[in-house]
Amino acid sequence: MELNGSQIVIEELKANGVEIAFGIPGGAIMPFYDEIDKSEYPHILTRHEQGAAHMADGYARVSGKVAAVVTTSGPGATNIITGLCNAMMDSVPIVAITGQVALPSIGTDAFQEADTYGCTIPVTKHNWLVKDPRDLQGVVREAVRVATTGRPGPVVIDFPKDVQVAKCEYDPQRKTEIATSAEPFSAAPEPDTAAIERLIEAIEASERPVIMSGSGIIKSGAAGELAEFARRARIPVINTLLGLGGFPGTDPLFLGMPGMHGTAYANMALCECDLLINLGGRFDDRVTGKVSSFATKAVIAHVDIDAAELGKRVKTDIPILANVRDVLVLLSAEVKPKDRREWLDRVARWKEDHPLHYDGDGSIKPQYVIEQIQEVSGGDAIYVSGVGQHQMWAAQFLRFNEPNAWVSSGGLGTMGFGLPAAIGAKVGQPEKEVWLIDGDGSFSMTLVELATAATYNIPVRVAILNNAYLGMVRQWQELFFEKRYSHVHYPTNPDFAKIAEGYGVRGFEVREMDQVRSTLEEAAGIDGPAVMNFHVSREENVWPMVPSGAGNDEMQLGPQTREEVR
Amino acid sequence: MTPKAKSPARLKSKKLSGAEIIYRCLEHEGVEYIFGHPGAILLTLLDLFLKRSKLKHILTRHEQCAAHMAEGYARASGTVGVCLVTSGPGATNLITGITDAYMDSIPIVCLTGQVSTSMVGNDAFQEADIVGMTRTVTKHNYLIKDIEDLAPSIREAFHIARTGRPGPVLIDLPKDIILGETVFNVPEEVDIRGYKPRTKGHPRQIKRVAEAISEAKKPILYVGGGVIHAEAHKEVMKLAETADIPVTWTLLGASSFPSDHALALGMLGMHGTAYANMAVDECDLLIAVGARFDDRVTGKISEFAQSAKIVHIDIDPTAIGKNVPVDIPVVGDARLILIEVNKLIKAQKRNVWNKRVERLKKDLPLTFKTTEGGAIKPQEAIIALSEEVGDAAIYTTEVGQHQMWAAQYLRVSFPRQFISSGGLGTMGFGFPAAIGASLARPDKLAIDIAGDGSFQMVLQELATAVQYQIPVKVFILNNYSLGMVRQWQDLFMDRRFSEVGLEVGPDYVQLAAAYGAKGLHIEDRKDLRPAIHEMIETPGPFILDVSVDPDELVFPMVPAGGANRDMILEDPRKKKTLKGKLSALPDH
Repeated sequence: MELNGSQIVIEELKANGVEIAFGIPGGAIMPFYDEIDKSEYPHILTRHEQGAAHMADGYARVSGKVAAVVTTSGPGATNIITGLCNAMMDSVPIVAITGQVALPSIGTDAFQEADTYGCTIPVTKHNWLVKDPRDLQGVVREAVRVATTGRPGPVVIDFPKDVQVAKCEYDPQRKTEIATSAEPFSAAPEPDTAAIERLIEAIEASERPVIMSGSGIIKSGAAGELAEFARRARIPVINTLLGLGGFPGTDPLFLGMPGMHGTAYANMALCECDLLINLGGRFDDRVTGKVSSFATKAVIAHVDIDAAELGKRVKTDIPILANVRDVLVLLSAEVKPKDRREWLDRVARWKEDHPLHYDGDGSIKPQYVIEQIQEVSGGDAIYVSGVGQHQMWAAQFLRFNEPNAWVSSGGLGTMGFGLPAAIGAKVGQPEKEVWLIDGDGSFSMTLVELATAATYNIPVRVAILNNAYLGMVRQWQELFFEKRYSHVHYPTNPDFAKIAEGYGVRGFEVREMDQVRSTLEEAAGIDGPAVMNFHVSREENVWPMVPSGAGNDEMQLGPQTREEVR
Repeated sequence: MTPKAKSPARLKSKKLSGAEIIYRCLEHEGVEYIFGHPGAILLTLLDLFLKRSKLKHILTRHEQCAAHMAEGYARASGTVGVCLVTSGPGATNLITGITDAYMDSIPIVCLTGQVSTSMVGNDAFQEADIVGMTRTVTKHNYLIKDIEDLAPSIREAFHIARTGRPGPVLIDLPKDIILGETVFNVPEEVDIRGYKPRTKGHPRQIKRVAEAISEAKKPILYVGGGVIHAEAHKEVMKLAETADIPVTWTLLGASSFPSDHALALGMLGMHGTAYANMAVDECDLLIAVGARFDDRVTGKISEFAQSAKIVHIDIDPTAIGKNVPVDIPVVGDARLILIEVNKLIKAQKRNVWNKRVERLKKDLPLTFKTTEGGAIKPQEAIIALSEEVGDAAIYTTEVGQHQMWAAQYLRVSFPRQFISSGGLGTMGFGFPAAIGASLARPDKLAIDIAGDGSFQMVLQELATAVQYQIPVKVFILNNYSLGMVRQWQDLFMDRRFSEVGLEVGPDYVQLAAAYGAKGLHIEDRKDLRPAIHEMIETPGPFILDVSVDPDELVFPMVPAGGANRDMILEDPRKKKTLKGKLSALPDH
């Protein structure tokens, strides 16, 4: 049959499991939007394209599916670059379809023309500028495949207006050639047996092993396999920020998060271990601190699906290029249980001696609100965060017991990620409760999407931990710049509850401790979005903290104490 | 013009930190305001803003708006706008603003933090390859890898941004450079091999222009943003009046020539006036000054000004002949060239041609129908605003229908009075740009003529306006939809309104109050002028939310790809075209 370019893209999105799009129409994408309307393809209209990209991101993180982002050319396309970059850093699949001026106009600085292809090269896994409608079928298939396989990531299809309306023969059954080599993307390479054997030997020889797992565990659906292996081999488990939920937070073997604002015991275990098994994490600088003093006593094994990550930042003794789930299955089958009571006792003592804590003083402590959210939500909700202090407290104080329940911007640290990501998460997992823990600075950046939540009545629960500061920057200024708070203060912060009501969303102002619980309970019962503005203790700091550039062994536990781990 | 740099001699030969060098370089360039949003990498630099008070830092709520504020400042003042943001998301959030400045040739310098040089390429926390991403949307960009390059690069960046065809320049500043130390040494003169923009026009070409003008029977001046950048408005006026030439302008050229002047034709192009488009269609000489023959101006290129000889005066040699073949190109600064042209021409009267143009103006005016009840038409709202406020204001616009109505109906009289996003058409531009413009011109009231869709993209900056008590006024023509897209769907897609409804919008009055600003909502004509008075008389930021009819369309309209002569004049259902109307006109 003969279809136009827009129809072909919609047919192929449907056929390849892309069930929904987030976006905003505009001149250069209008023919495609007309087909969205005619075909009743599910679409969420956002208020800013950045929001659309973060929604698709949140959707993918909780559902394991991929969503489309649709924008017009020019500003529509440049507005999603932050969202693409965020997804790229955190390996999240997104298929972005950007309108482009008609082919003959490309390069003339036409109205709303931008070199989307060029601008997005560094922030996409792959991108295409489609010049012929006959290529569309293959390109959409390839785009979905590249985005979702191997190490996932965002892709962009730049879609000129004349290609959107050009007609060509379309056969849904047609086999299409993948133009680029699919190998590096799709392959879950067979794990190298020799390397697996070396790892098994290392595990069996190790007295003090630690597993550190990243988001690769969640993306490969290996949380069950990880739990089985760790429990069988009696190895404590650390989760990176993006890896949280990859191992049950209630398990005695769980050590929490490593690195800059990780738990003291996780960092101590990293400093003292003799074998570090990194499963699907990438040794980010916020995890390692100063690389030369990272896990200096350990043999380091690293399992990753992306060959480029192996040995990239940390010298690795046992690199394994594979899908982490395949490796865990092999390990569980081979590894013999070993008595590691001494090491586990030591780790347990650290946990007891240096727990995460905060001091109550009558004011609303942000950590307290997070603990209450955990209780009110029953612990099996999806939790989303913005970026900053509140994000670290959420990572520290929430207990995650299952994967795909924690949505946070790790690598790029994108303020404003929270609200749109929460909306996307709710769309991706409608049967789950979605709670957003946000900061006032972060929330301010993208609060325009309250209109989207209100329009589609998407019941996200937004808890703003409002300290009227860019809190994380303020904390650094307190600690390293003698409390000179330069340009981090919002003396005229808006009344967020009133803003919510301006959008027709329920808003709550919370200034007293005794209102915290009751407000959370009330908000949890609302059939629709809710915004809670918690006026929290303003100069609370995130502890522990490894100062930037220092080693994890130089971690500070609190205002005065510098813990000497060795 | 930018202030002359002070002698840097006394600053020499002392070791300073990278942060201190950046600060002093900015001072040295005469920077007054910096728009930004902090992050860990910038702390040492931000610390200086607190310790000193010379440079004022405006804390925005989203980096995109820092870029637009810098643009608004630059567009209103004619000097370089500056923004400062952190690495990673801070930098990527600027890209839309940078692209906007690039398309409209606006001088801004963007300073972005970057992870330490040793970490670049590691996918470090908040690392992004901003130099790679902005290569195609900046006039030039730098990643500073050696602190010795810091001061010279900043000096160069400002020079490149403000000279030639202006544009955005980005400087990526790794953390170790900001923390490093060296002797501070700013070169007095900037000398870049391969970058020597030509400012003086070629005398022979100038002579040819003068000759063409005196020979022409039906000349038209077509002026763009370049006239404003070059501050050539007086010379344009002199040329127009001396040689009796009607003047039309592009969206970005608006306010370079007074709207009420007898020779003024208003804007041309897709939503330009019918008489401007007809005059261009009939002219025998088209003198383009600082304009780039954008597709929204020319319509179908093969039929644009087909009977005319074309003169193109532009500072950018690559703009010449890019979209339209040119008969007499002159490369250089518009003001300098027009001064020379004006010396060569004699006073002329063109009674026949100007009578014809008068006739076109009389017979093909901008029109709209007011409602019989009290419902407000967007055009009358703009007319009322213009009449009540007049030259006390600088106007910015967002992007969409309201922007076109503003370009059609606002009366402006001095350069930089009308500020709009042209080439990129960035929704969400106008409000932050108005904040920047207000700081640049505290003597004027900055009014953002907004659509509801555009304003919703950036309304968080109300917090910024309130924090610094910047008296910016937002005049929303609220049609509860993405109106321009809706218009195209109305006309060309059988009224299938796909994803343009914004019926669930915020209550702007309540929103304003939540931010500590004032707001007012009106729906009835009788409230329009009193509300405008309340808006301009209330100190501080103010939102006036005017409900207008969503079915109102912008006319005239040249359908995309059509010739300007085929413009639709009014009623969409009847599709009355200019052609039909013209045949009824005498002497065509």
